[in-house]
Amino acid sequence: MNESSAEAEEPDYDLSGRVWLLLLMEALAHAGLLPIAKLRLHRILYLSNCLAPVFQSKPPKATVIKYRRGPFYPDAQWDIDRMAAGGLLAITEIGYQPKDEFGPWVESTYDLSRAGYSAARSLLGISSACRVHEFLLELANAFSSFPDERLDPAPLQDVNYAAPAKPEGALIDFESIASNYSLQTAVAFRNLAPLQGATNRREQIYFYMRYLEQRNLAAS
Amino acid sequence: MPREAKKRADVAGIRFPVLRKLIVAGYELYPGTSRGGIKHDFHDGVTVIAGVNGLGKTTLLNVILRLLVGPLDPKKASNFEPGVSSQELIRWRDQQYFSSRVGDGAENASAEAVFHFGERRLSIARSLQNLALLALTVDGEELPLDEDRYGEAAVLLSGVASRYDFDFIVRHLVFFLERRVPLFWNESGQFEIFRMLFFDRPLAERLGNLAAEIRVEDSHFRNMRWSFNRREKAYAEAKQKAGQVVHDQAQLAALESAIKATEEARTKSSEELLRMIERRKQTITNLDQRRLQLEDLVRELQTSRQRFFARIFPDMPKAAEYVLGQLASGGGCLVCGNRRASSANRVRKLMKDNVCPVCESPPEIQEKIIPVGAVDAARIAQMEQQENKRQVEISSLEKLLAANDREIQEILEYRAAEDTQSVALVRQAEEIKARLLASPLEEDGIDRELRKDREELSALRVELFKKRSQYEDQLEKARSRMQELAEDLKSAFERYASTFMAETCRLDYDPAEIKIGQEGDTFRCPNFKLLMTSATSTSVGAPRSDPDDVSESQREFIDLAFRMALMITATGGTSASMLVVETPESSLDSVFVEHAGALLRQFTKRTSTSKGNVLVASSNLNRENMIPALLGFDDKPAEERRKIARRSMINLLELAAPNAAMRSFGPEYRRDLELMFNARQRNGSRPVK
Repeated sequence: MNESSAEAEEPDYDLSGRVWLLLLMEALAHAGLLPIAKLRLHRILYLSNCLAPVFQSKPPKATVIKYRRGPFYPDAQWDIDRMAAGGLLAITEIGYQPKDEFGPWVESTYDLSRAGYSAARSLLGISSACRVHEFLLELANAFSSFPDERLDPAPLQDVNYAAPAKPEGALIDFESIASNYSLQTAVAFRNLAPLQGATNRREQIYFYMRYLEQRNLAAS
Repeated sequence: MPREAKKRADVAGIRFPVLRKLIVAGYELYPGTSRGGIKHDFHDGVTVIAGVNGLGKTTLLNVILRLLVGPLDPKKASNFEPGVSSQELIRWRDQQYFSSRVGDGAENASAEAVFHFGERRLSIARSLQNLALLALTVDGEELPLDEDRYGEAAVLLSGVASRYDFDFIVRHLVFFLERRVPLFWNESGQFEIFRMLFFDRPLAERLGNLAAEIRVEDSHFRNMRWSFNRREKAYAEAKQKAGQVVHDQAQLAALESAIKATEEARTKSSEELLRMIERRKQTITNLDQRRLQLEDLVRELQTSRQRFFARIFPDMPKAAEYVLGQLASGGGCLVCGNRRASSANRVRKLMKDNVCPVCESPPEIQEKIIPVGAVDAARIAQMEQQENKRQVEISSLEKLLAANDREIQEILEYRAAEDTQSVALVRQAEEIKARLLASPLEEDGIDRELRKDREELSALRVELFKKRSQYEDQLEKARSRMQELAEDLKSAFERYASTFMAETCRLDYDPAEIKIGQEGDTFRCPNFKLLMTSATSTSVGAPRSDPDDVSESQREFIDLAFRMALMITATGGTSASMLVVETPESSLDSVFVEHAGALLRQFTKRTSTSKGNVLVASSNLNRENMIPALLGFDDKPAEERRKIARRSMINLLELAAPNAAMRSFGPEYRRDLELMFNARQRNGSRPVK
């Protein structure tokens, strides 16, 4: 059996949930974005869900509820906290805010522990995880190129999330390509002159991030 | 011949051609003495064409034959089935027979002959290059040089029914060549010659024509039936296919209806699936909303609880505090992953009762009193209620989502099964459509055509039946006629046979079952079988109808005797006959040569019942003494023998162009000839065995 067929026969691993998160944390470490605050982590997680199809990857979740604090996945938070309690992540800061502009909140900051780093590296032995990691790495790198003040607000300019017809509490569903406007926008950079046909998927991610930055700049 | 028999024979009025004069001129094979070719007058009695191998005896016999039959041959000649072939004459296949034997192509060669037919006289000359007529007179009157006119003349002179009959009689009765038809030993041949010789002309014609028509129609009928059966079979198969077509059409209609129903069901299931997906989406929305609301509540509770834990565990690490806060706020146990509400409720109750949430110690034994956790007990209680409510909602929404997923899974499975069935139905329908396209059948047209052919076949069968009935009617006359003649024929045969057969031979009238055409009943045709005593029994035994029942010599001479009897009976002795026999010694043991010669001479003798006949025999000049026997040298002195020879022998040693044998052994052959005139003949004669 040759290598490619061995690869083709690799089991269909579930890369959603904690694996995706661990790989994301590893990518964020590479991009120098750790430790990372809870809400920022959720925003980049949300962007990874929207843009995974650029790298032909299936995201863990293709919906999000429009939430006043920005994209937030309670299940993912549970997984983050469980990994923290389990020692894969480290909670570096916890801030109890009796009341901010949206009400009471507990803000926390997460880092990748040595054990978490080691677990993430082990996952890279799986080729499908490796592909996801490649995407997450490009996403994290593009994200890290934002100026600090744009890191938190820019993701809120995502085309899916910022769709004007979606009120708070509405479900944003980007499961199909047709309904994933973020994906469509990223891919559209492929056709832009003078780069027509010359952009690769890495550049599509990069251009989309620049686009979010510009939108955010315009909005502020 | 009895008066009665004579009268009967007269009815037939058959006259055989009798050669009286032969001139062959300009033919290199027979230069003759002083280049005069061959010129010979034939008298009653035996004439011998004497020679050695390769000198042209057979060619000369063929010259005589071709003078009579001309450049024609039977269309389908079979030596073993005389009379069975169609009664047609076609151009001679071996046109170069005479011309190829000489260097000049027989350019200037001709043969001329005078034949007597009873009292009448035919004078005929033909080119040996191509057998074209050069002269033709009947009783001195010139006729146009036309083969058809000659044919008519020959028919008229011989008294037979047709040129075919004349040809047959000459070829198979008058001429007894090495390649001959065994006339007696063939039932069809016997009857055919009876028809030609003994029946009055209308009957002979009718029988001949009817037999020919029956053969043609029988062949046509069989061909047509073969073709018809083939087409009918093909049509039956096509009809069977047509049955399949009807069946296919019905099946196709049913399939198309089933396909339509499947498509409708699919449209409905698609709509249902869309509704289910929408429902699921709504459930997810609700669920995710509740989860976010729970998240808010948990974080608010966590913020509230944080003060409690900070007080009781002032030095507790942030992470532990976070874990405890999470647990107490209903967010689940981050240590073990338990998210049940009961664990949160337990901690809350402990906190409310000032019981240590870690070791569950009551306040009275606590070193450090655990303060009441609630800063704003009423608010916390309210939030806890909400949180419990959200938990219940989430739990039920999760169940609903699972149910949504299940129903979607079910409908997808149902649609997959439906798709498989639909594909199978469509494929089946396509196969039937392809089959239907490939089986066009113009049923009516073929049916009509076959019906017409069937009617035609039936009409042909009726026609054939009629012909066969007519033939049977004519045959009845023929049988009656042959029965009248049977005694004459039998007695003539016995007379000739007894001359050279040791055994007593008799003819027995025994009609044979003969087929005409390949199908249908046989006809009882007049026939004679041979009855003969044998070496072991002196009584006349069982019929011997097979040539293998007798010896080769017997076979030849029985056939010869039969021919002689036929001729005598046919002419009634009122006109002369002729037999042309090729090398009669060829099948004889030398001991019987003299006897055979005597027999053949007997045929030529003028008797009370017969005019003097002519017998032309070719014979090899050898030591078998056939020539002296044929010429009847007997004990005659040499001078008389020479006289006989001059009159009755065509000596090819002198007349033919010498071949290699003659050039080498000419003197020896001439010495043999000289010996023939001088030698004593064997005394006594033994009958042939």
